[in-house]
Amino acid sequence: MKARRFGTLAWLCAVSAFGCAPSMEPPTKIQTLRILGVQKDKPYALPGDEVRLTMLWHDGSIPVAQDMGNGDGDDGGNGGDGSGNGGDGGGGRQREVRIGWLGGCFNPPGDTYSGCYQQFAAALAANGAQTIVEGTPLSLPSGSKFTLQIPPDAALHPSQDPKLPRYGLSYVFFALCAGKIVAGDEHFPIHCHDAYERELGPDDFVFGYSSIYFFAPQADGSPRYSNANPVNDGLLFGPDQVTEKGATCSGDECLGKCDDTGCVNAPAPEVNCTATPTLCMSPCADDGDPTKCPPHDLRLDIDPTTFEKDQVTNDAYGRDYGEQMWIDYYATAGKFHSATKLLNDATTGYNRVNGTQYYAPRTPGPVRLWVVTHDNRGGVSWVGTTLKIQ
Amino acid sequence: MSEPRPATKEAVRGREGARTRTPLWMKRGGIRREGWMDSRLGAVAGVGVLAAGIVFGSARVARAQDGSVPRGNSGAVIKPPAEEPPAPKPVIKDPVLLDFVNATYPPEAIKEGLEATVVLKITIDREGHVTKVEIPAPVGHGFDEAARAAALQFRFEPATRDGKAIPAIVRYPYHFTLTPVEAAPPPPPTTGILSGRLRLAETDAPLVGEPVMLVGPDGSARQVTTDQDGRWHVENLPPGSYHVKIVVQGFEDIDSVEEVAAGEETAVTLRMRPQTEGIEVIVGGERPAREVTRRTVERREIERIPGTNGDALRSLQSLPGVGRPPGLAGLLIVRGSAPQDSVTFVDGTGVPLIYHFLGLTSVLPTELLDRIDFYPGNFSARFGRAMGGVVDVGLRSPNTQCVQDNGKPDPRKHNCFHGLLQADFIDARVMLEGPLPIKGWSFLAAGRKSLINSWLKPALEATGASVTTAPVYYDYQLIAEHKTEHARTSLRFYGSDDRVAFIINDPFVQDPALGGSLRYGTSFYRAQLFYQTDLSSKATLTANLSAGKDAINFSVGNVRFDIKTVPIDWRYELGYTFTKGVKLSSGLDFELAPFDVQVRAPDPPRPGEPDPGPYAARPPREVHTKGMGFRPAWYGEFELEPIDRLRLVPGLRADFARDTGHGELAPRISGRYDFVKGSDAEHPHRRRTTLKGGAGVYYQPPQFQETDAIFGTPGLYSNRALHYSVGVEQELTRHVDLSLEGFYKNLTDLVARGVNDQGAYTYNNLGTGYVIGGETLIRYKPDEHFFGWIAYTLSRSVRRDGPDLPRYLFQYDQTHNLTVLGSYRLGRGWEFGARFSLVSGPLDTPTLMQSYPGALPALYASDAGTYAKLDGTPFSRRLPLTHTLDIRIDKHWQVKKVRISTYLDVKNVYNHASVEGFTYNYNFSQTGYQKGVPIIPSLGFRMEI
Repeated sequence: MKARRFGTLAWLCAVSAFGCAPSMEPPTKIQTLRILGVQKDKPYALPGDEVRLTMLWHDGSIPVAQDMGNGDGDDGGNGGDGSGNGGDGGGGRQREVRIGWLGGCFNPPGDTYSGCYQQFAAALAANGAQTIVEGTPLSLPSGSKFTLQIPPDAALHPSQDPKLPRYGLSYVFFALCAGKIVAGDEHFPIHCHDAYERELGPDDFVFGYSSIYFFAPQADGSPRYSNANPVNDGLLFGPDQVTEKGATCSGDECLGKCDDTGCVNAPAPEVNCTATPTLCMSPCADDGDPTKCPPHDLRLDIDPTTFEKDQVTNDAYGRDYGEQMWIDYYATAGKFHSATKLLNDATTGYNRVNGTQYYAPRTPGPVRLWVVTHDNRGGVSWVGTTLKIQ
Repeated sequence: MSEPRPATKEAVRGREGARTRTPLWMKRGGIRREGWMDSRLGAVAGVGVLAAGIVFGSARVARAQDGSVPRGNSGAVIKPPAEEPPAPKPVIKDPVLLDFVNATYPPEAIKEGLEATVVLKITIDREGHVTKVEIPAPVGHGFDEAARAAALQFRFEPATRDGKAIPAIVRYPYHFTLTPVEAAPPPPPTTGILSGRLRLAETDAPLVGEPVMLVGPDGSARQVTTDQDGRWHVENLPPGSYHVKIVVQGFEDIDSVEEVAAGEETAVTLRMRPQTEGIEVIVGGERPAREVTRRTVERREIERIPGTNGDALRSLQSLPGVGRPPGLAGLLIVRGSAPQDSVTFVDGTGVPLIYHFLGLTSVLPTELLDRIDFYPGNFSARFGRAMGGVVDVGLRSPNTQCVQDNGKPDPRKHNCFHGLLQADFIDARVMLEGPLPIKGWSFLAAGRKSLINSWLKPALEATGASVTTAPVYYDYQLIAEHKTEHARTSLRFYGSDDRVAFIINDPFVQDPALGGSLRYGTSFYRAQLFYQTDLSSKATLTANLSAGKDAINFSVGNVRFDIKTVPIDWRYELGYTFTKGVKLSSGLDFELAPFDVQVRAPDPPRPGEPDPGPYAARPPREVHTKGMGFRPAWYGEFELEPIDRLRLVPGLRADFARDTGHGELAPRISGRYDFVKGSDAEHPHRRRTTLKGGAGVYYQPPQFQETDAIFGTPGLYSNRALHYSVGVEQELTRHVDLSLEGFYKNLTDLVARGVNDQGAYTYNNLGTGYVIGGETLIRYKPDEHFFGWIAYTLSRSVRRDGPDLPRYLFQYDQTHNLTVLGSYRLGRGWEFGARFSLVSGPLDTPTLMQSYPGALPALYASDAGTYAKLDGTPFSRRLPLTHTLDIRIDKHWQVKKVRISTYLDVKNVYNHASVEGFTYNYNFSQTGYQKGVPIIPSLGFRMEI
């Protein structure tokens, strides 16, 4: 790697930081069908383990007020026309989305997800499906959760770097589709069709992957390397620890509701402005403009002593690296000062400036908000809440 | 008594041959016949001899009166016997020789080296005339006749008896004697010779084909023209003071008074300085090139090209064949090659970086550069390890020329100091140069520090970054030099240092791994010994030894890259001219570099491989390698001129790379033919037409990461390129040149990435490609008012990653590239310049969705919480044309010896936002243009003495 390449990289960082790019909708704004995070209960696994994957998603095309109608357990029916349009604003059923999971790819060539294509093609051929006609509905495991079984005899292979331990790698693919998940073509293996067999695009169809590393256990069968998902004590909105007041969700509490026909957004609880006044705020006529709207401080309540070390790297190279951790902020309306904040740097440690500011939208009504924490070893966790703009 | 007549001036050749002395030979007691005598001294001596002879003769006569036969030089006198009885004795007086006549020495006797004495019996009448000469005993060999002929012309004072004149007969020995006679000296010279050499100041390069006017003391004028070595020679000049006048546009006039003395040669060396602001110029393009094309940018052009802020290396981006880099990036894209395919040297020593970070300015300030030679392709065998282009920068010598009060150089005075101070929005620099206390040595010391912290730091902090180390760069140069007419020894120490560190509190949305602590630093220094000498009139030596240190470190978050090397470069070239038109240059080019590399990063994506996703989703690998890089090379190159107009340069280069374990042989040849020769004294209006062409093999070793065991694939071979070019250069006028050149590069064994048998992506040498194009350059060479050029390049650059894979346009393909620039001196210290460029937009790879509507543009990489772009057809989408207009306005004042300048350099004056690339939203479903830098004004101040 010549210095010029890294110099160019640094230059690009600087140039992009100067804001020469056009302003587009920020990633923080959830107005389409979005996946906010996929959590593995075991970011590092052992051969023979079951790894449970949980998807946090949200259909931003549905007004939040409709999500509040989901709180009474009404998780069936069909709302909308399946084309991504919202429902009737209350009481009616949202459009349903479908989630499909595709596991079974182990140790692809080059450790790249694209290396799984060959395995899947081979698996299909082994099942007699030499060719699949484009548009054919696919029957895939569904729901917000998926369990991957790592075979006990799953191969562990040496790293190209002999200092690193032997490892195995599995990719799990998933699709989130506001319609039917169907077979694709040679350019893309899976498509999403609406009720009229029209192909849905990136606003209504998300396809992705998650990687699971597994290592040999210690002699006593316990994991050699620990790797937990990030932990936190909840959300601080302004001075309020709103989690302690029951105004947030985390983990499965934030998940959407699924049945055999499909999934809908997770229910949105009512906001108690007396108990959690900071979750209630006035709208801003400038619609979340950071330069004109009043800021509302927001950050995770987190204990940096819970942060983990990158044990694999440290054992292999004799370093003292921590995990690189960052926070993504999302909301269905309004804006944030920063979409992503550094929480912990691998070398310099905890970054105290990890919160952000929220700016209220112009339109009154409920706003759903999530704070998703990542680490660079596959760990994910989230906290969600609802704001009331009034 | 008359003096003996002097002998004739005809030299008498004796045994010893002719000499240039004027001897006078005398013998005791008389006159001896001399070979010749023609000096007044000899005549005076002859009078003395005669007088002595008279005295002695008289004495002998006196003795003879007592009956003895007188002898001696005055001759013997035979007295008749007395017949009468002793009577009172009569008083008899002997005859006295009054007029002696030199006889002609017989040539035959001279030839044979003979001498003789001829005894003459001379009869003298009463008047003293010789009436008869007899030779009782002839000696032959012509002596008798010669003596008789001379004696017949003798004149005596007659003998007397008792006072009465009487006839007499005397015996006279006439001596013929040879003496070592000096040859007659040549006539004293009446004319002299005036010769000289005309050179460029500081670089000492000859100025060829320039007129030299000589105006003599009588006002007459004569003009000669300098030859290939810048020499001129005029003979047969009457002695006196001559004005040597040389007028070359763009240079200070020379009017030097030289004295010509008869019989002597006066040789002068005159050095021309440009009509600039007292700053030295770089070499012009008249020196015969060893390459097909060498583009040389002169100092005045470098400092005045708008939009470059006077940066030397940025001026290259205005030349044909050089692509436009994105934004402010200091990348050199040459004839469709990647930036890493071109190399930059400083007097033959490679440097790791040529620009400070952000590409704002190059690491060597323009003031230190003597020249920049740019070879877009088909370069000489002395350069290797690259298949793109070569930039060879030369550092200048310290300037010790004194200046007059009007700021113009004073050719008669040296050993003066100079200083420079300059500041603008980007950096500030100082420089001092002058003589050292050691005779013949001079020095230059310069330094520069960035001022960007004043605006870059707030800009970074505005983005949410916490700056821990303010961005700063330094560069420094120290030169000590000794120059003679035949040798140049230069000791240099130079280097640069860039660093910045900040905390990215808001990581890059599309890859959160690019967040956190960012640290960037580069530093290098070189200690260099540069030596050039004329070993003889036929042999030259150029040697360059340098050692230094490179340190490059970059880290962001969990990714780091640290490299330290101690490069030792040694270049050595010996040139020998066997005969006119045959010269061999042979050299060594060694690179030795111990290195220590630490890299921690995921495998970076490479062309042909699907994007493996964000760094944040991929665990990094780490490698720590120490080793010794060793890349020796040898080259040999002939410069042949079989006829006057044709120049062929065949060469061969042999390279070896220890890191790959492979060696290569690279033959090359270039040629230039002057279809029409340029102007000379006889044809002052003739314009040169030169046809040129070349072909050659060029190798470039793989990059470090491509052969690394962890990140790459060991065992790769070097990339290979065949360069072909053909063109014509036409002088349209004395100042305007036209150059047309077509080029083709065939690329093979390119390091590419493909799928191996196990389905994994590895490096291989299966990549191929080609570059084809044409360059046009119309250039107005700098004169006292104006310089400028129009450069246009049309090209196509194509690659293929494997034999079964489709071709695609290369990332750096730029179909059209037009630059029009000019700078004009308005007078009164004002100068205005403008540069317009029009370039094809860069290529971009669209998303898969943009290529195939049914597909998604990206996948959600859940471990990163962001999206991984799915690429469509590589580099299949071109951004819009870019066009910019840059202007520059300079004003300088000359206050006695101090020159003060201010300038305004405005890049993108009409604020056209060029499209540098595409930008995407978080899931790559929306596209927007990444706009380039807006209008950038830069105001500077400069003071020189």
